[in-house]
Formats: sequence, C-alpha cells, structure tokens
Amino acid sequence: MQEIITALSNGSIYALMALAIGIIYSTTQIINFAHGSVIMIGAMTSYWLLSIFHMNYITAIILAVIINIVLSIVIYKVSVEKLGDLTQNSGWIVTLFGAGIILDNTARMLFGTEPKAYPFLFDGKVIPIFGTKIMVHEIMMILVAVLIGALYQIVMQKTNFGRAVRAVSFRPDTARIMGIRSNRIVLMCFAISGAVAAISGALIAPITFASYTMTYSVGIKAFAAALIGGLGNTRGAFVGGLLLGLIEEIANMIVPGGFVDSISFLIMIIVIIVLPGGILSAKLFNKGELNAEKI
Amino acid sequence: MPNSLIKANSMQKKYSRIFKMVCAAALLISFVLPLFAGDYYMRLISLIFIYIILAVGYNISAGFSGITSFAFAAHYGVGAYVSAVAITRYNMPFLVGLLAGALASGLVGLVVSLPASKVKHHYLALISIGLLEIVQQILNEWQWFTGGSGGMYIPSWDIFSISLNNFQKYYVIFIIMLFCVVLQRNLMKSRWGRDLIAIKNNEIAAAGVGINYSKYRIAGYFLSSILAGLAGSVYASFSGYLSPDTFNFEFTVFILLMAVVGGEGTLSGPIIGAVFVTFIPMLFNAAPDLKQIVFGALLVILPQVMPAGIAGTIKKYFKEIDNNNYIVEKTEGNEFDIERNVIKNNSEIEDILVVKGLTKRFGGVTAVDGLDMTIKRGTVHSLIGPNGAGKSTTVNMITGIDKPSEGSITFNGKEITGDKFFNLTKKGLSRTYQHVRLFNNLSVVENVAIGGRLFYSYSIIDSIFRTRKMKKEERKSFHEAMEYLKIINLNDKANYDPESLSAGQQKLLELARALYMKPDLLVLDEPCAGLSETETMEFAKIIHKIRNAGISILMIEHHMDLVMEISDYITVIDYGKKIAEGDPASVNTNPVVKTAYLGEGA
Amino acid sequence: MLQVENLTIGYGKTEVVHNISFHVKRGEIITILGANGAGKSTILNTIVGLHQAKQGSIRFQDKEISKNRPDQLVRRGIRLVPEGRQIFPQHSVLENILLGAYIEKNAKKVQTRLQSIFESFPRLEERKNQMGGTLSGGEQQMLAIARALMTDPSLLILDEPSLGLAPIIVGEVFDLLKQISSSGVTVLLVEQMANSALKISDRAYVLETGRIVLEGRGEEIRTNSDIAKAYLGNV
Repeated sequence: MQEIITALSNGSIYALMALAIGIIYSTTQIINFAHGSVIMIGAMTSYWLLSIFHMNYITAIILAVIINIVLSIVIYKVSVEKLGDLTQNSGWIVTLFGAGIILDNTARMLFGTEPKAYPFLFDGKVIPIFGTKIMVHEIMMILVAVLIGALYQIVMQKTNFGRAVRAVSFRPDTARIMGIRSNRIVLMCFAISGAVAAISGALIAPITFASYTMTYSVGIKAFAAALIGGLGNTRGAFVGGLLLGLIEEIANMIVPGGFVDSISFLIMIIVIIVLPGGILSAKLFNKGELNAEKI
Repeated sequence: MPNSLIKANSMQKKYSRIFKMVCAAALLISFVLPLFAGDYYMRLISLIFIYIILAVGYNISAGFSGITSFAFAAHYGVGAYVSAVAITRYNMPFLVGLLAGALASGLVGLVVSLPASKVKHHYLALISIGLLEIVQQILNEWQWFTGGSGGMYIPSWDIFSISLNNFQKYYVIFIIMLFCVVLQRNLMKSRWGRDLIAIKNNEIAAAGVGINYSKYRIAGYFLSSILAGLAGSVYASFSGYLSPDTFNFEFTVFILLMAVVGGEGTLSGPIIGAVFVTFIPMLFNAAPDLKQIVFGALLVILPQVMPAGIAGTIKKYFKEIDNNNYIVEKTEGNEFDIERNVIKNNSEIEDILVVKGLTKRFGGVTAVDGLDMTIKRGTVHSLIGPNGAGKSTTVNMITGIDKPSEGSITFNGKEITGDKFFNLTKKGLSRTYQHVRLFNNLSVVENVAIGGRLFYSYSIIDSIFRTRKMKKEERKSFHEAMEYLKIINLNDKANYDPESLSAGQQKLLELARALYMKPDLLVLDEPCAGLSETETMEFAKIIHKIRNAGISILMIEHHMDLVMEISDYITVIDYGKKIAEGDPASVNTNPVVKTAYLGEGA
Repeated sequence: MLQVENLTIGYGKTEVVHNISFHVKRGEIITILGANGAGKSTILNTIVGLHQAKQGSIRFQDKEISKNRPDQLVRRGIRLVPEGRQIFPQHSVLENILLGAYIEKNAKKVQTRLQSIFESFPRLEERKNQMGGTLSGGEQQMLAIARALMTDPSLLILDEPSLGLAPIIVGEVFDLLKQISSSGVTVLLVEQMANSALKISDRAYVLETGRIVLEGRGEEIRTNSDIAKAYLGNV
C-alpha cells in the first residue's frame, strides 16, 4: 500500500515535470534541455527562502515561482530567440544544454554541495488510511499535480490563450496574421513551464533532499516521463509520469538501490524504440501530413 | 575531385597552401616534441591526441550525421572500462582490449540510435542523456565489473609484451590519432561522406538521390561511437587508472565544447577544438569553480555568434572572397551527348508510367480524385492545371513522397504504389522540386556527382585506404559530372557553393543532378518557376536534348508558352480530376481548359 | 487608403518583386493578377508584415507601415485571408472564428461580432462544433473570410480565394466579396481566375515576373487580350 502511494505521489510530480516540458515542446517543437536545472533552481530557491529567511511555505513557493518565471524568460531570450527557425537550426540543443550547465554550477557555488533536508508540508504529518500511515505531503503532491494538470487542460481548451497556443504550434505564420504575437506566446509558455517546474521541484525536494545535483537525480526523470508518455500531450505526461513512478517502485523491490534509475531509463529507451511517439503519441500537435506540402 | 580538371582560384589556392603548411608544421612539431618537452607536457599532448580521436568521433555524429548526442562521455567510458576489464581481468593483449572497447561502445551506440529511423533527431539527444545516466550508475555500482566508485587500475601498458614508457606511449597514441584523422578525411571525402553531408543538408533531396537516410544515420552514429570507444580504450591504458567521475556530465560538456569551438562538420574542427578546449581550463587554475560556468556560457554563445566554429569560419573567409575566377582546363574536344549515358532499359513496355484511380485525401479535402494517366515512353508529358488543382500532390504520390489514399501506380510494368522515395530512384525515377533542393554544403560539381552515387561500386574499405579502384571511380564520376555541368553551362562554376548561383542556375543544377541519376522517367516540378525569359528558352532546349536522348519526362509547369512548345502530350487537371487531355493544339483550344484557368465567362 | 511605392522584395540574395508601385482607394475592390511565381503572395505577405521589404514604402491611411508587425497591422484594420485558406484544422469552427478576434479583449464586442458573422454565414453556425479540418473547401474559405472579418477590418486582403474551389463556389465567394465591399470594406485581391475577379473589381494590376506590366479598370483589362496571353501563352 505504502508503495502504491509512493508510486502515485512521485509519479504525479514526474507528470508535472513532464507537463512543463510538454508546454514548451507543443508550441515550439523544441525540448528544453535546461529544464532539469530549472526544476532544481525552483527547489533550491524555495529551500533558501524557507530555511534561511524563515518564510512560510506559501510565500516561499510563490517567490520561487516568480524567480523561475524570470529565469525561464531569460533562458529563452539568451539561448533560443536569436536562433531563427528552430525546425531548421538544431543549435538550440547545445545552447539550452549550456544554459543548464551554467545554472547547475551557479547553484553549486551559491548553495554549496551538501544536500539539504527540505521540510515536508504540514511538518510531515501522517494520517492513517487503510491501515498504513500516509503523509499529508504525499497526498498534497498528488492533489497539486492533478489540479495543475486539469487547470492547464482547461486553459488550453477553453481560453483565448489556449487557442492561441495551439494555433502557434500548428501554423505560426497564420497565427501571426490573426494578430497573435507568436514570439510572445512562446515566451509565455517558457514562463508557465518555469512556474510549473518550481512547484514540482519544491514538492519533490522533501523526498529527494535539496541539492544542486537534483538536475541529474530528479530533472532527468522529467524527460523520461515525457518520452514514455508522449511529448506535448497532457494526458501523455500523466501516463508517463505515473508509469515512471510505478516502474521505480517495482525496480526498487527487485534490483539494488543504485540501479533503480538505470531501469527507468532503460525502459524509456525501449519505449522509444518500440513506440517512437510514446505511449500516447502526441496526436494533438501532429504535423505529419504537412511535410509533403512543403516540397 | 580530380585536380587535373578544375583549378581553384587564387584565394582558395592560397588557403590550401597555408593549410598544407600548417598541417606540415603541426605534424613536425608533434613528431619532435617529445625530444624537448618534459614529462608533463608529453602527457598533456598525449591526452590532447586522445581527445582528438574522441572529437573526431563526435564530429562524425553531430557534424556529419546530424545527431547531437550527450552520450559521448558514456561511449568513451564504455570503451575505457571494457578494454580495461579485458586487459586486466582476462589478460587479453592490448590490441584485443582496444578492439573490444571500441566494439562494445559501437554496440551501445547502435542500440540507442535504432529509433533514428522513426523519430526526429532531437529525440536521440534525450535518449542519450538517459544512456549517460545508465552508464554512470553502472560504473559506480557494478563493483564486480568496474571496481565501483573506487576506480580501477591498469598496471601497465604492454604491446607485444613490451611495457611502454611515456615516450613510447606518446608515439603509439600519435599514430592511432593520425589513423583516426585520416580515416575521417578519407571517409568524408568519399561517397559515404558526401551521402552523410547530403542527408544533414536536405533530407528530402537526399532521399531523392536514393539515400536511405535512417540507415545512414544509424551507421554514422555507430561509427562515431566506435571511435569514441577507441579513444576511451586508449585512455584506459594510457592513464592506468579509471574513475567513474571521469565520464560524467562535465566531460560531456567538454566534448560538446570541442565540437562547438572547432567547428562541427569540418575536417579540422575536432583537432582545433581539442587543442583549444584543453588549454582553456588552464586559464581558470585560480578559479576552478568558474570553469564550468564559462564552459556553459560558451555553449550558449558560440552556436549563435559563430555557428561554424573556428575551422568553419576560416574556411568561409577564404571561400567568400574572390569567387569569380575559376579556370577550367580544356578537356578532350569531343562533344558530350546525353544519349551515350542513358542506361538502356531493356523493358519494351510502351507505357512507362500508368496511373489508375489515384486518390489523395487530406482531412476533409480531396486533393486528387480518381486520376487516370498514362505516360508513353520517350515523350514529354505535361501535367497542367490551375493552382491548387492537385498537380504537386499527384507528382508527390508518383515519386513516393506521399502515400496515395487509393489507386495504383505502375512504372515500367511494375507496381510501385506506396514504394519509398529512395527506392524508386533505383528503379529509374528521378525528380526535381518546386522549391530548389540542393546540398548547400557540397560544391556545385559534387551536387551533380552525388546523382551518380548509384553507379559506384567501391566499398567502405576502398575509401578508407583510398585504393586505386576508389580513385578511378571518383575521377570518372567527377569527369562525367563535369560533362553534365557543361550541358547546363555551369562548368566554370564547378567549385562554387550552390548558394552563390542565381535562381535559374540552381534549377538547372538540380536538373543536372536528376539527369546524372540516368533515369527512365524524369519528373520536373515547375522547372521554370522564377526563371527569366532567356533562361526559360535555354531550358526548353535542354528538355529537347533530354527527350531526344530517350528519357521520358513528366512535367508540371505554369509557363504556357513553354508547355505548348515542348510537350508531346498534356493532361489538364482541376479539383484533382482530369478535365482534358491530348496534344498541345487540342488542349489549347479546349474551352473547358480556358474556363478552368480564367474563370467563367472567358 | 493603401499606397505602395517602389517596393522591392526578395528572399536572401534573390529578388522576387522589383520596384513596384500601386495604390488602393477607400471602398474599392482591387485585383492583382498574375501567373504562378509572379510574386503576388510575396507582395501580400509583405503588406501584412509577415515579410520585410528590401526597399520601398507601404503607407496605410497616410502612415508608413512597412516596419510594422502583423499584430499591429491587424489592430489598424488590415486583415489577410491567406493563400490556401490556412484554417486551423484541429480547432473547432467556433474556435477558428474566435481566433480571428484574438486581439479583441472585450468579450461583449466579440459576442456581437460573432452573432453578426453567424447571421451572414449560417452554414458556419450549423457546424460551429465541427473540427475545421472536416469542412469542405468552400466552407473552409468561408471560415477563413469570416475569421478575418471578426475584427471589423477596413482593408481586407485575399490571396487567391478561388484556389481549388469548384466554379459554383468561386461564384459564391466573389458574390460574398462584393457584399463585403458594399458594407464599406476595401478589398485587395490577388487572383488567377481573371474573369471572375475582374467582373467585381474596380481596378486591376497585372503582374509578370515581379513587375507590374498593366494597370486599368476591371472591365478594360477583362477585354484586353494580353491577359489571356499572360496565362495561356500566345499560341
């Protein structure tokens, strides 16, 4: 039972991380390789605000979200905007990776190398359900993830902004003659993605400890979840995230601790070889048939 | 390229002279260095040599095959550990260990690049991060195999039971490095390299000359991971101690930076990159914390301000100045004629292409609707119709780019419906494109020569050792390519970049490439769009020549003067349906056609 | 209303449009005719700000607009109905129309505008929950026009509205344009269906390989044999 809850709660956060990657991917068809670092920065800044400045949880997370929004916008401005047509120029793979490296090492210098114990929500209070003790924090992880996922889905489907995002992802130039500033939309998506990353980082940090190495220990799982589920697709992100949570728990039982992540990534690679688009392939943003038109 | 045929201009001559001098100097310095340098510098330079091998490997992947990967630290590590285990635990000789390391890394590369045939290449970058993590964990945790985080020792480096000292190690590494650099050059300057460059440049056009791009990508990545594994194996024996920490993210950054600084996709880039990036950290001895941040910043900035790296920028500088004065030596006088080069297909089938009930639906719109069409051998057949009538879609289905929703296509008596584009070229179908698709990283003459890639027979071994067979075939191929350039009057621009040509010349160049594929049926998609009046006239003459040589032509064209003049038969379509067909005169007077073009009331 | 002077446009090193000038007066319907590759779409894309001109000026209501972004021009009342309609196939019909009003933040205005659009395009109202991609070609063209009308533009630019449409539908589209024009919208049209377009046009320009070769009143040009020549050759 405890294992299932852990799988669900971790999986929800992986889903949230994958969702944030998908937000950027669906508008620009690029993968933010600095995303792991953005998650880490979200966790580290909120940790600092909590423990050094003794803020309350809500204020700390809100501030961390704001910092992450600014950070994501800077990342876009510095490493992506000038590259031009991103489908032609694959320079973004390297520039975004470089941006991540800058963040990681800056974080290492600022926050030190020691992993820090990050406080649980509600002081780690547990409530007994079905005979096991479950932390309120874990329940919050699931709730927040589901809430954000649902909110994002509603925004995408029902609002002006959501329509514009989908329009930009499908035909950026046509979107522009509707009066949509495609660049602005992309920028907003980077900002939203950063905000979601901050929340997911802050929620998972109590479980993994807060450290600059979260980029590798946690951030990379965001990519695995996104790939397993299907990039740029909300449901895909949740399927991928929860599956990854489950895989980890199962792997935990059968292989030595050090190999758990390897199993997750191995499964990711297998999924890509067998089902290139992920389990729920990204149908919403499928551009397949348009390619021939360009010839 | 055969030197007898084309002389470079003065600037390029100067470049190649300087280049040769620098190469000779570098070789000489590397050769005599151990005589002067102390142990420290000898080890450092040896290390640079190893990095050059690694950078060459990465360059073949990222620079030539277009796969950016973060896993090269992992490939390097796999190579190092496998060879170390083979040597220390199984007492294998060094060379076997070297081979085992390289192969192991190659196999890993093969597995992760398998999806290359199905996914966009940035997926591979993502997968490679996963691979890097997996390898990291295995190196740290699998005590029995790797010694875990404590590391692993290789007591000595023996070749044929001689234990090498630093001095000898230096020369062994030097030789292996030279071999890899020459290997890269020979491969990239052969048909394999041109194919890879072509794919990276323009996937669709590459498929158009018959390249199965996913296979090539996988092969390219396989080769580059072998080289990375080789570098790792050499490193293992050279350093004598392996620690998992060597093969981490930081090292990945180092590898990427070598490529970015030196210049991806250039032959000398890896060397320049390895030298620079090894020396950059020395500037940060005082502040090692800053090193990674500066590396990261360089990765962010360089691709934006200097996308071609140091080597690419220098090359561009010498290329762009004074590009106008090529002198071509006179070759033998006899007039080249296309006919001599047409491969006579023994097929006696009169109807070279038969299309039946061809239909294509995109969502709710039917672009082509039950089209029937027959092209007779040796004719110029034009497909005309107003904009949006479905002509391009038809041609895309015939050439295998689009899959028909319904209907059948028979070419030379064989059903080809749904065949892949790159397979059709082998069956004698070649095409040009509405929007020119040339390989801009290849020269004009190479662009033509790649059309003849199906007629090469030399193997990959031939190219590595530049055998006589390879040289002979290359010379022949380029001679013939020059002949095609003469037909389109571009022979004096053989060494140019295609981008420097006018729009009309680019179209002609594309035609020459398609011709060199020696097709039975040549498909031209709006060959004269954007051409001037005189260029169009020139074009008409060439089409006549081609037809007289016995090649059938299917052409989409809007330029009605031209269509009426050179077509033997015309099919007119509108709304995806055939509305008229016949010889030019009857089509021209057909009222239905006029209405389709001008609207009601003509 | 719109004045284009000495406009030169190119992609990279190649020039596509050479030094052309033309103007559109308030309330007119103007047609630019020309064969494929003559540079028509390039001109329109430059006017609406998708592409930057190399040289020359574009003035709209006496203000220079050649450096403006597309969204600024939409605000000023210039709307383009692009070539090939380019509706969003995976948005519903209603969403497509609402996207047309993206810059209008006043929900009430959007609603009234939507009502009047549905009055003029009852077929779109019937299908408002269908995906855009499932519409027929003619319906898609109506949708593309309706979408552009959502911001009440003063200049409506259409790039080959007849493209790929059956003759009857083409007639419907041109009737619609006539209606739109009589409601006070200036219309600039690029066409290859010369006859149908010229019938409703006040004036027309003929474009050949990036140059304007002929200019005149719609009827005049319609009876001019040079037009037929430009399309069908002089055989």
